[in-house]
Amino acid sequence: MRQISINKNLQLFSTFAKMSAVTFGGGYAMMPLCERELVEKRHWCEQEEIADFYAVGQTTPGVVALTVAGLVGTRVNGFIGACAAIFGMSFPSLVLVTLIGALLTQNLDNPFIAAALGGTGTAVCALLTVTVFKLARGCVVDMTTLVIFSAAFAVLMLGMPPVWVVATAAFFGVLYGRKTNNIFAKLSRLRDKRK
Amino acid sequence: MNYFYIFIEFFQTGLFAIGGGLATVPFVKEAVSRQHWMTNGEMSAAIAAAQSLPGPFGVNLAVYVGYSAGGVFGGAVAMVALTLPTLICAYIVMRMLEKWKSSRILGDMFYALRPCTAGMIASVILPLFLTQLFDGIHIPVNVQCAVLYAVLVGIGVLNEIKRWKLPPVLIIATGAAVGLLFFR
Repeated sequence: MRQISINKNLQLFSTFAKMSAVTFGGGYAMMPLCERELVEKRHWCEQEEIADFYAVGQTTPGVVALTVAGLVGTRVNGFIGACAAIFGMSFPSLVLVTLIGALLTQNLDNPFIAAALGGTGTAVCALLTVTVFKLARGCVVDMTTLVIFSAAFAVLMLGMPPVWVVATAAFFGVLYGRKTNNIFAKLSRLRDKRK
Repeated sequence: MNYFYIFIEFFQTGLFAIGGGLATVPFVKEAVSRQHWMTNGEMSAAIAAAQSLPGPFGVNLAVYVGYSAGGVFGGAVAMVALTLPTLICAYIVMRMLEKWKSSRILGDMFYALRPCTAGMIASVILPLFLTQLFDGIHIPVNVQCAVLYAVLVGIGVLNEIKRWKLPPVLIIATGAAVGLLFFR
């Protein structure tokens, strides 16, 4: 029993450390990797839940990537699991920044580094675009969700703080569900229950 | 004593910066000027470096500033202090989610939250992509960036439809390689 839980912590640590070490561009850029590693490889959560975790991450204190790690870690192995996942997520940063942070600062205008970083950024954009399509296919199911999607995009582009956008959406969801006996929310709830 | 201040400042940052890593910047800036850890120019360099390294931006920035304030151990202290509030919050939220998993309110909430998250990520991509497209030093850069983007999106979509299971890391590595070859 104890052996199993140690293995789980190691798995959590190594999975998140791997994701953190190879993703350029911060927490959101990690989303395609989350799907691959957490959903398809490890089966720690469902595809739709990744979006939920990111929404939670936007409304709770701290960096989003760490919140996602903490949520998944808690589910897999309780508080110790959360520690393992969060430590895994931040450990590569600690090592890399300590080792090459200062060096990089002096060489940020080096054309080779700038070019490689530019290409990486473009690749991250492309990956995220595919992720948005995938996400939208699962959750934009009717007119209301289409409006929520477009409105969230628009107000965020205009500079509204994400925490308010997410809070407003959650509040609206509850009100709307109350008023209309929302069939789509009910369906997804039934699906969650069956699993 | 220095480590104590590093801990307090980054614990505060972790507690009050709600949202993505970029939300930590104002808090870290304030801490840096309050504690006289870095000059403004050094702070800008720190932000640029934190964005160019792999890993979560907020953690990178915290470790960078902690390192310059108190060496290797300072960086570690900053990392732990930043992650502690998140650890506690994530644990509590997950326990609540599990408890009310099949409740109606939670279902209604996530019905609206999921498209909202999708919109949020779309709003993160667009400025990121536009900066890359237009902030190039000379014109050909933009075209190369657009072509690379289109090709990679195409591969990504095919990857989904045909279930090739290409690892995302491969796409990122391709981007870096193409950038190194053609983006100069």
